[in-house]
Amino acid sequence: MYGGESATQFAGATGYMGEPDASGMKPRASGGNQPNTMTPVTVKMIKGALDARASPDDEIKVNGMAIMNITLVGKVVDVQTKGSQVVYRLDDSTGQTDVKVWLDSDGPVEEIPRGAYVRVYGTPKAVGADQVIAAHTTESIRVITDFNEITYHLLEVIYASGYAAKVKSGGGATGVAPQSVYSAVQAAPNVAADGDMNGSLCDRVLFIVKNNPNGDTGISVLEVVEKLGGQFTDAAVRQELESLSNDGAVYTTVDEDHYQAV
Amino acid sequence: MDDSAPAPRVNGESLERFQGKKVLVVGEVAPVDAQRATLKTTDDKTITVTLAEGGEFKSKYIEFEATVDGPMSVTECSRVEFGDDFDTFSYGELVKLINTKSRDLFY
Repeated sequence: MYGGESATQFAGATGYMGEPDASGMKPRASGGNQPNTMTPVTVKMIKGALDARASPDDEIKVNGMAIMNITLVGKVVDVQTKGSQVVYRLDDSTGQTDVKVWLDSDGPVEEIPRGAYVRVYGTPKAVGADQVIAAHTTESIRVITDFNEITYHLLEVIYASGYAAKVKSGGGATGVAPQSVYSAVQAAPNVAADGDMNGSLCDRVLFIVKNNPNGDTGISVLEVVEKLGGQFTDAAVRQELESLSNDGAVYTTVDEDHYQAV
Repeated sequence: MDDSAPAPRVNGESLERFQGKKVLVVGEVAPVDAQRATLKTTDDKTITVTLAEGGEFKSKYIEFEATVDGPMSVTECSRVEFGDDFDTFSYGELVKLINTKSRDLFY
C-alpha cells in the first residue's frame, strides 16, 4: 500500500519506526532493552496495549513491537491542577486519557484551556487501574495552531502501523528482524517473488541485484538491463541504480558498472 | 483511559452508519441562521448542522463534534475552528482510511 522507496526515506527521516534502521545499522536488541523510539498512537491503541499485558512488568506492545515513548494529538476536555502536577484530560476521537505534566519548581506553567488541540510526547504508565500518559517535560504538551497536524498525526499513526506490520511479516517467520528496511520491503507480500513484473522499476532493479548469481563481483548494469527484458534503457537503469546507491541499498563493486546489494 | 465512547471522524458518506452516535465531522461551513448551518464535507456532501453555540463562525473550516440525527443531518455538541487554511483533500483521504482498512486503530 505504501511504496518501498518513500517508506524508507520516511522511516529514516523521522526515526519513529524503531527497529530496522535505514542506515543499515543493526536493529536494537529486542527483549531486555527498552526500545528507544517515538511511536505515533491513538488512545485506543495504547489502551489496548496496556490492557493486553499479563502483568504490569511486561513491556507495552503496539503493532507487535515493544514501545516506550509515544506521541498523540487530541483535544483538551478537562484540566485539573493537583499540587505539582497538571492533569489534562485528552480526547483524540478514539477515546480519552489523562496526561500528567509535572511542573518545574521555578514557577507555574500557563494552563492550556479546554477545547484546545494539543500534541503530547510522553510515556504510558499504569498504576493499578489508573492508566495515564506521563508527559516527558512541561514542554512535551503543546497547543496546535495548524490543524493539519491532526491529519498529519493520524496518517502517521496509520503509516507506522502498516510499516510495523510489514517488518513483522518480513522478519517474523524466522524470528530474525530484517537487517534493513529494504529486506523488509522485499519480504513483504506485495512484492512478488518472481521478479515482480508489476512493481516499480526501483523494486525490480533492487530485486535483480539482490538475486544476482555472481557473488562478490556484483551484477553489471548491462545484465540488469537484460534481465528487465529490454523494457528500460541503459540510462534509466543506471539512474535507478545510482539512486539506490545513494539510499544505501546497493553499492558499486569492481567498477562503476557493477553493483551489489547491501 | 477510556475507549468505550469514541467519536469517530466521518465524512458525509459514512455518516448514516452512525445514527444516534457521536462523531467528528470537518468541513466548510455556511451559516444559515442562529440555529442552523450547512457543512460541505471533505467528500463533497452537504449536511445540515443544528447548532448549539450560535451561528457565528470566525473560520472557513469547522470541526463539529456532533450527534448524528439522520443520513444528512447532525446536532452540534461542540466545535473547533480549524481556520481558513486546512488541507481538506488529505483530511478526506485520512477519513476514508479511518473508516475502512485502518479502522481497528480508531474505533
